[in-house]
Amino acid sequence: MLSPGRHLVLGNVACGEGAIRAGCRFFAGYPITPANEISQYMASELPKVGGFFLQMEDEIASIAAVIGASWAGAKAMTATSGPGFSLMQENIGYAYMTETPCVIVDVQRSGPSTGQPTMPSQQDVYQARYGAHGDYEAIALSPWSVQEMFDLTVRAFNLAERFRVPVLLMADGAIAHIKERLIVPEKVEVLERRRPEGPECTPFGTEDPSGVPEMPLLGEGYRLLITGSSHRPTGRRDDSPRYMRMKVERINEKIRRARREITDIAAHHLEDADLAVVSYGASARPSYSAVKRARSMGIRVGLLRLRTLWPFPEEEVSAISEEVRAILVVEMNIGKMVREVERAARGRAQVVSLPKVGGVLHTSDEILEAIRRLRQ
Amino acid sequence: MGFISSIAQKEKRFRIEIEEALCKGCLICVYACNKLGGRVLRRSDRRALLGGFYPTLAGDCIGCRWCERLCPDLCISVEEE
Amino acid sequence: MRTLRYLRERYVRELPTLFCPGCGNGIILNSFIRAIDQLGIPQDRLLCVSGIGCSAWIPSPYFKGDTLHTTHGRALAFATGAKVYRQDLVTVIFTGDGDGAGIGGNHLIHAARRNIDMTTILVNNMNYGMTGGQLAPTTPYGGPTDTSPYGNPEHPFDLVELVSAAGASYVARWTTYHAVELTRSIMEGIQHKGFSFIEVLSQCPTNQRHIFRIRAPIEELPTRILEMFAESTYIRGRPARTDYFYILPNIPAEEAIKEVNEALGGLEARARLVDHISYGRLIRVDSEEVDRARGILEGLKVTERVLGPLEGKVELGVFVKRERPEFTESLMNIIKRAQGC
Repeated sequence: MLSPGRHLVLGNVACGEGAIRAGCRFFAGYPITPANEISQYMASELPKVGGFFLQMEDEIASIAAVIGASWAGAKAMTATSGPGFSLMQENIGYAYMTETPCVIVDVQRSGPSTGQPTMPSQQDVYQARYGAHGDYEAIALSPWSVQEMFDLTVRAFNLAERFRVPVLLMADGAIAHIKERLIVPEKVEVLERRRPEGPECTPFGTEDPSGVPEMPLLGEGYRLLITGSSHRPTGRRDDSPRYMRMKVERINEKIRRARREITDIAAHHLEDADLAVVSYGASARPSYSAVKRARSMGIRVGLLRLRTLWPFPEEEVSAISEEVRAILVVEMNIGKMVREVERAARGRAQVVSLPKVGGVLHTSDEILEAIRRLRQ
Repeated sequence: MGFISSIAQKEKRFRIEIEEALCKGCLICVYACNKLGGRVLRRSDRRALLGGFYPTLAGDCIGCRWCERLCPDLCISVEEE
Repeated sequence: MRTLRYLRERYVRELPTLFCPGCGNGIILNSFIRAIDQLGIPQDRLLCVSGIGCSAWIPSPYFKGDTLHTTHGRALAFATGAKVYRQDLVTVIFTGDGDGAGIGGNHLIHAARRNIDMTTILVNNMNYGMTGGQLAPTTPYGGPTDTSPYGNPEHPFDLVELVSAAGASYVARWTTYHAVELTRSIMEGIQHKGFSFIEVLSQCPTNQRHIFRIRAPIEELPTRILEMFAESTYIRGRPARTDYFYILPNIPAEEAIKEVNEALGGLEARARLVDHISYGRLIRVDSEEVDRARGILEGLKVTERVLGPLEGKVELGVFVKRERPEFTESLMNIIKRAQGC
C-alpha cells in the first residue's frame, strides 16, 4: 500500500489503493484491457492486509463471487471493461434485487464489441443505468483524474455501504492509464453498512425513512433467505404483485430520495456565464482548458463537470439552463448524456452535442471551436 | 441384525404416523416397504389432501424406516411405542 | 434413531414443498438433513447456495439455515466468494443438471479445478424440470423431450468423468433409490477437505415418462422410475450377480413375455417385465440354468437381442477420493507469504 503523502501513480493503481483504504478486503476479477493494472495491484496488495484476490473463470463468476463475499461480510469489488461489464449485468441486477453493497469499476474502452481495447471511451454510460433487466436506480461516478480514481473509489464503497447497493465507477482507458500526482490522505472516511442489533431482522424491509434495511450476514444465526426472486421483507419468496411492488418501489426510492446527498458536481466559471459546457470524466479535461482559453478571449462560458452520472444531476443542470443561452455537452461517445441534459433543460437553453467516436479524446481546439459556434 | 439385538427388536413395537397435511399420496413408502421392508404398508382408499392416496398399515411394522428414508415429503414417521 | 418427524421439525423451514408428488428432490432433502444431523453440524455453521431450477428449492426455502438462492448456473461462483471470506462455513451447493452442467458448466469445472472446500449435490433428472421438460446436457441420446420432439440429437455428459477430469477430489454418483448410500456420501463429501461432487440421478415423474417412454398412470410413475433406477444401476466394487439376463423384444414386451414363458416352460427360470434406463421396457430372465435359458431364448422369434446383466447400466459409487491442495488453504498461505515479506 502507498504511504500517506504525494505519489506519482497510474490511474488504475490509484483506484486499487482507494479500494483498500476504503476497507475493500475481497476482489474478484478477470483479465481485460484496460483494467488489468487494478487486478494486478489487488493481487499484490490485498494479501498484505489479509484480504483475498481471486481471478475467476469469467466476469460473470467475478461479480458472483463479489456478491457472495459481500454477504459473508466483505467489502468487495471487481473491475472490468465494456465486454466484461456486459457479461456482468445479470448479476449486477441480482445485487440490486438483494441490496448487496459492492463496487464495480468499468474502465470504459472504445466499442462496440471488441472495438479498440486500449483506447478510451464513455460509451457505457447508459449501460451503467439500464444494463440489467428490471427497474432499479443506479449510482455511477465518473473520475477525471488519478486523484479522483482514488477519491471516487473510496466514495463508491461508502455509498455502497450506506445505501446497500452496487456502485459503478465509470472510469475510462485514458484516466486509467495516465500517471499523475496522487495525494494519499492520512485518514480516509470509511462507512460501514448498518447491522441489525438483536437476533430479529427483516433483511429486505425497513421502517427507517432512508428505505435502507439493516444487513445481517451469513453465518450469524439469522438463517437467511436471500434470493433474486421476488420476496417479502423477510426474504421469503413471494411473487404476489403487492410484495414485488413494495420491493421495487423501495429499492428505487431509497436512491431517488437521497439524490441531493449523492449528487456531486464541480462548477468552473459558471457564476456569470451565458454559455455552459457540460462534461464528465476524461472529456472534461480538454473541456476545462477550452473554457479557460475562451474566457481569456472574453467569452463568458463555464464548465459544469459531473462527478456523478447517475442519479443524473437534473436540478443542477436545470438551474444552469435558466442562466445560459446554450449548453455544449462534450462526451466520448455518439451523444448519450446529452439526452439527459436536454431533458433537464426543458428547452430553456439550446443543447448542443459534441460527440467523439474512434477512441480518442477531444482536443481543446475542437471544443473551443464548438464554443465559438454556440455564440452565433 | 446381531442375534441379541434381533431379540430386543421383537420386544419393540412401532407405529406409523402420517402428517396427512403434507402427504401427496405418491405411495413411494408403500413401494419401499414392500420391496425393502416388512411388506406391511398398503395403499388406502382415502384420497390424500394433495392428491394421490394415503398409505395405511396392514400388519406389524418392523421399524426398518425404509419408508422414512424414501419419503419425498418427510411426512411419514416411525414412532416407537 | 431420529424419527423423520424430529428431522423435519428441526431442519426444514416449511412444508409441504412445491415439488411434484413423488419428485426425487424431496428424497434428496431427506438424505441431506439426515447427513447434517448425523454429522452433528450446527445449523448456523451451514451455508446452502443454489442456482435456479427445481433443485434450487431444496435448500431455499426448505432448509432451515443460511440459504443463498442465486442466478441460473452461478451458484458455485457465488459460493466461492462466500466460502473464501467465511471459511468456517460448511458450504453445500444444490444445483441441477441444467443449472450445474448446462449454463453453469464453466463454473462447475473451474470450482472442481480449484478444489475449493465445498460439497456440490447435482440433482440429475435429465431434463430442465421447472421450465417444462426441455432437453438437458444429460438427456439420453434419442430421448424425446419438449425441445427434442424428434429425439435428442446430442449425447449426454458423463458428469462423474467430467468433474473428475476437472480435478474434483471427491466424486460420487448415486440415485434417489439409494437414499442410504446417498446420505453416507453427503457426510463423506462434507467431511472431505476439497471439492466434493455428488451426482444424484433423480426421478421427475412429470417429464421423464416421455424421456423413458414409460406408459403408466401418473401416480405409478414415481415408483416405476425408482424401480428403473434400482434395475438399471450397479454399485462399483460390489460383486455383480450373473444368474440373469435381459431380452430386448421386437414387439411390445407385454406381449413377448407370453412366448418367453412358454419357451422357458420346463426350466427353473422366471421372466418379468422391467424398465431399463437405456433400453426401455424389457423382459428380465432370472434362472438357475442361465446359459440354457439364454440358449433357448436367443433363437426366439420375439427376441431382437439378448442383453448381459450390466449392459447399458449406470455405475454408482464413489469414483474419486484423493487429497489435493485445497483452494482456501492456498489463499491463506498466500497471505502468510505476502505478510512475511
